[in-house]
Amino acid sequence: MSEAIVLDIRNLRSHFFTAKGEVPAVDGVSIQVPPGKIIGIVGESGCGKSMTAMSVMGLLRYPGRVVGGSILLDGRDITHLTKKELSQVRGNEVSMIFQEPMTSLNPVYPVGKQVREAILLHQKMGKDEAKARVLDIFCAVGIPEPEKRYYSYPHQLSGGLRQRVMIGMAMVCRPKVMIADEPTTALDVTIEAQILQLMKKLCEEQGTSIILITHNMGVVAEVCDYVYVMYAGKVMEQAETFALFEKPSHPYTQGLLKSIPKLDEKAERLYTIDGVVPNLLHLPKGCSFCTRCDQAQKRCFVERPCLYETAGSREAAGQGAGCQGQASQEVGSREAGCLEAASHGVRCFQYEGGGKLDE
Amino acid sequence: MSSRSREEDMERQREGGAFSENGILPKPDGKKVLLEARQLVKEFPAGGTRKKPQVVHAVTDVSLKIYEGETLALVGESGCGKSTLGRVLIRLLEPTSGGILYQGQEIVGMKEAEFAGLRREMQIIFQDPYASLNPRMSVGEIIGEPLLTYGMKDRKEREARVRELMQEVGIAQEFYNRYPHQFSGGQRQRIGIARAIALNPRLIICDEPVSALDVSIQSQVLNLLKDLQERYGLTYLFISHDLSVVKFIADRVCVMFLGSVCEIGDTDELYGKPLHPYTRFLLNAIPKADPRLRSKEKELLSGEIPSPVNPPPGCRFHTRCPYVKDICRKEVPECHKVGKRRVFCHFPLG
Amino acid sequence: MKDERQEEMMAAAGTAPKPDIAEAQLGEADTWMDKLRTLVRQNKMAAASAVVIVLMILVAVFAPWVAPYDHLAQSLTDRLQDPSAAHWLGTDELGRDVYSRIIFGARISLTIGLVPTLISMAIGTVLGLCAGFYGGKTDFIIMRLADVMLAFPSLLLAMVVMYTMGGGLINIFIALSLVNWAGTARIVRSHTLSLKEKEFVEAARSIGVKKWTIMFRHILPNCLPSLIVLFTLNIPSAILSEASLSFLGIGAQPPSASWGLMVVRGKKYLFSEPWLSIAPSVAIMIVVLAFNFLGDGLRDVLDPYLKEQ
Repeated sequence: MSEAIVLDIRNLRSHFFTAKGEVPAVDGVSIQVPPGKIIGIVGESGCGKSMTAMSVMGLLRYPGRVVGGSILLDGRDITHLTKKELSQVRGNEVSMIFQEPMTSLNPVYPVGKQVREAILLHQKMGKDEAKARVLDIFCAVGIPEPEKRYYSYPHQLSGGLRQRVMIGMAMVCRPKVMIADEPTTALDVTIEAQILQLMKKLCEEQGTSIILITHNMGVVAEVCDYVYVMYAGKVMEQAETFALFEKPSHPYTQGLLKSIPKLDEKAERLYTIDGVVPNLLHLPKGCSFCTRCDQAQKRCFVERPCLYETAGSREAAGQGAGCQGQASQEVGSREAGCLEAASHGVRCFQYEGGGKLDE
Repeated sequence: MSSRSREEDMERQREGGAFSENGILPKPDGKKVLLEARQLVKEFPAGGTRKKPQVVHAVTDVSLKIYEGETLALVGESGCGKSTLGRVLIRLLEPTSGGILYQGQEIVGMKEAEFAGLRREMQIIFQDPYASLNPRMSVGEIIGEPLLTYGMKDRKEREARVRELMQEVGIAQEFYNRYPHQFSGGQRQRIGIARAIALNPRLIICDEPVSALDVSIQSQVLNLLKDLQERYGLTYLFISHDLSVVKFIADRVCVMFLGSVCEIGDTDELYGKPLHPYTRFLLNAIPKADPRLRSKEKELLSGEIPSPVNPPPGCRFHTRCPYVKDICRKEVPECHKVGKRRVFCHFPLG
Repeated sequence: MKDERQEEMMAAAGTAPKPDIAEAQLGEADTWMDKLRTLVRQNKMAAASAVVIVLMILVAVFAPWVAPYDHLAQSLTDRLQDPSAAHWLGTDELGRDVYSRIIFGARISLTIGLVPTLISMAIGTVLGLCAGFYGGKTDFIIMRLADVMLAFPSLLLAMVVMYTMGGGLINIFIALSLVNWAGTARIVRSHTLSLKEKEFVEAARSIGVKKWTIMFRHILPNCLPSLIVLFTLNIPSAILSEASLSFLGIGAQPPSASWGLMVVRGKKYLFSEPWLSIAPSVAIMIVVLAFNFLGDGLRDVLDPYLKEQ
């Protein structure tokens, strides 16, 4: 991996200690975030994608706890910071936005003041200066009439505007990484498109890296540079976006992509992945996907696969870059930087030929 | 009167035989109108002062027909009134004005006792599989409730039918005595579906039935809905904001914006060549699961959805429409017929 | 073992096992036993209180066997004795064994705690359900009535009832039942208001279930956890009311062994024989505290409105 990694999550393990047993919500997740890129974490509910984000933000609450691994922000381990140090990092260097902006905004203060608070908390600045800064950021995130909106209360804003305020608040201290947990799930399609576009723009202009957590493959395809597919607390497949959609390698990823109804074709029946996500307390002995996998072999039920690099993923990456060239020269060149770092990893025995990427 | 006469209906109810085999209806041919909405209006009080009461215009002047055996999708963003319309159509809400014809029979203003017989022919599946099942009733009780309500008092008979239904929707029978919280979202949705088909209805309103589910579960439930439709000749009104799901399941699509209809037409035609600007932008805005389709600058709708309390005059969409002209701000567009499609726009794309 | 074999057989057959949706994971049930276990683990105080209450009930039920003396048997030779091996808590001014009287007093206190509370909560529940479900005029009338009830100090109201009808246990039942329904009605109404908007109620309506059935089959059971909590919290206030009424002389009448009555009778001897009023006071305190602790504990475990996911 290239040396310019802003956020390096290494073998992170977060467990929940419940009455019924220890739940491995995040089970050895490694994620690298290069600067100025959008990294997607995609998966179904309960796959641990939000828990990963919470662990990074130090927001895990009892009975959850980070039990292993490290989170390096610019080379500094932030897993074992004190509360005070953590609050310096949180919101300043790493910020987070949530699915439902209404619950993350305090209903009794005007939104402008709340964003100003976020600045004053982290930076030495006069109140007026901070306000000017807030108005700037409101403009940047596309809030119409920022002067007026500064004094609006959260309930007076629509869902889209609230999410813009949240993004503004997250961006106001120019963080290195912004974690967006399902930022568009509660929004309408046309508003979702606006917000995605905005995030992409901010990422390019301000050089902030974004970790985008979503369940929507469409959103991933739309904005992400690199994707991690999670299932039952583990990364099942990681790849550069074009490569992933071009050649999904893990049976789970393949199934996911096949089961989404397509706009451009009329299918009689949809492909389905049978069964449901396994209970994290009673995971299968082998690969956690084995019970639902249609390509499972005997050993999948007894042995746990590592994350293997797909054979020839480097070359494939090269080809991928070529094919993007056809789609859009500009996008292709932007992507190329990321591609060097991008290895295509799959947690499946079918790809054992490639080298191990973890454990 | 369309398909069958009133007498036949009454007979069906008298027999109570809808529980037995003869309750299964003959395959519809998709030509007969099952349900027709005529200039439906639904308004909700929204506070304001006594002198100037405010009203939410949830559904404004909607007319549409649902043919037997088809799936008509209602598509639109939140607050466009699609869920309200669905509930008004099966009289879970009373319309403020307008009429609803079920098989040619006016059901608005019908006495509750008289309507009770028709009630069983129209069922609803809800969005939230967590809120739609009573947490204190077992699966058997939940699915059995409609049967009990319509006079199947015998416990054994009811249990047998419930088990049959459970099998039908893919819930194992040994879960008969389990409670909803022991199931996953997809399984709960199946329970909700079993409850809806228990009375052999003709029309099922599916109110965002898969939007709360995970992708892999979503496709299971969609397939199930399609299978059931085939087997029982069901008619669906499928309410959704997800255009790709609609594309898969619907025969015809009705696009709504802020309480009024924008466009109605056959799915393939409408997706292939949207006539209303809103439909086009909606289709454009969907994030597609193919990174090659991303474009640098997308043609996006600007602005927010106006409030249904003070909807804009003229065409409801004019505040966001890039092709807006003066007439759009003043006059409500009339229905243009283009082939089998209907568009409510002064200047349909073409 | 069986699972593994099955898996292996399937794997050997070259087909991946496709679990029926049936086999798929099911969340484990939170049974009553589970909840009880959570209660014991989380809240030791509540668990201890539950034990105290159970003991108290047992003692009350088996009072004639537990009590060393007859609680009404007077013995003028043994008047006002200090606590001793023979009379653990001494004797009162009529020579009755205080310990035995307290044991029999538990009967009165617990009945007073349970019966009027049950009656008043039943009234309150039905009225609250109707008010919340029907809304409009029904709601207005019931809730204004409840407001009026709540505006009076309940003890004062009970006193008015008692004065007009005279003392005695039955009348205490009636007075307390009439006075305490309003709080329950309010809580049930607010639950009903939120529950009736839930989709499962809408589903029942779409099936055509009758209103009354919806109220009792769908709404009431979902209020139950809160009602149970409310019940345990209402009991001590009823016990206290009875004690207060008896203390004021309009509750239980002598010679019955009501704790409130015992306190007031012991008042005269507060300085010479303090145990006469202290012992029943302590008994009242223990019961009331136990019920309150249990109520708090149950609230944490049961009340879904406090820990909605």
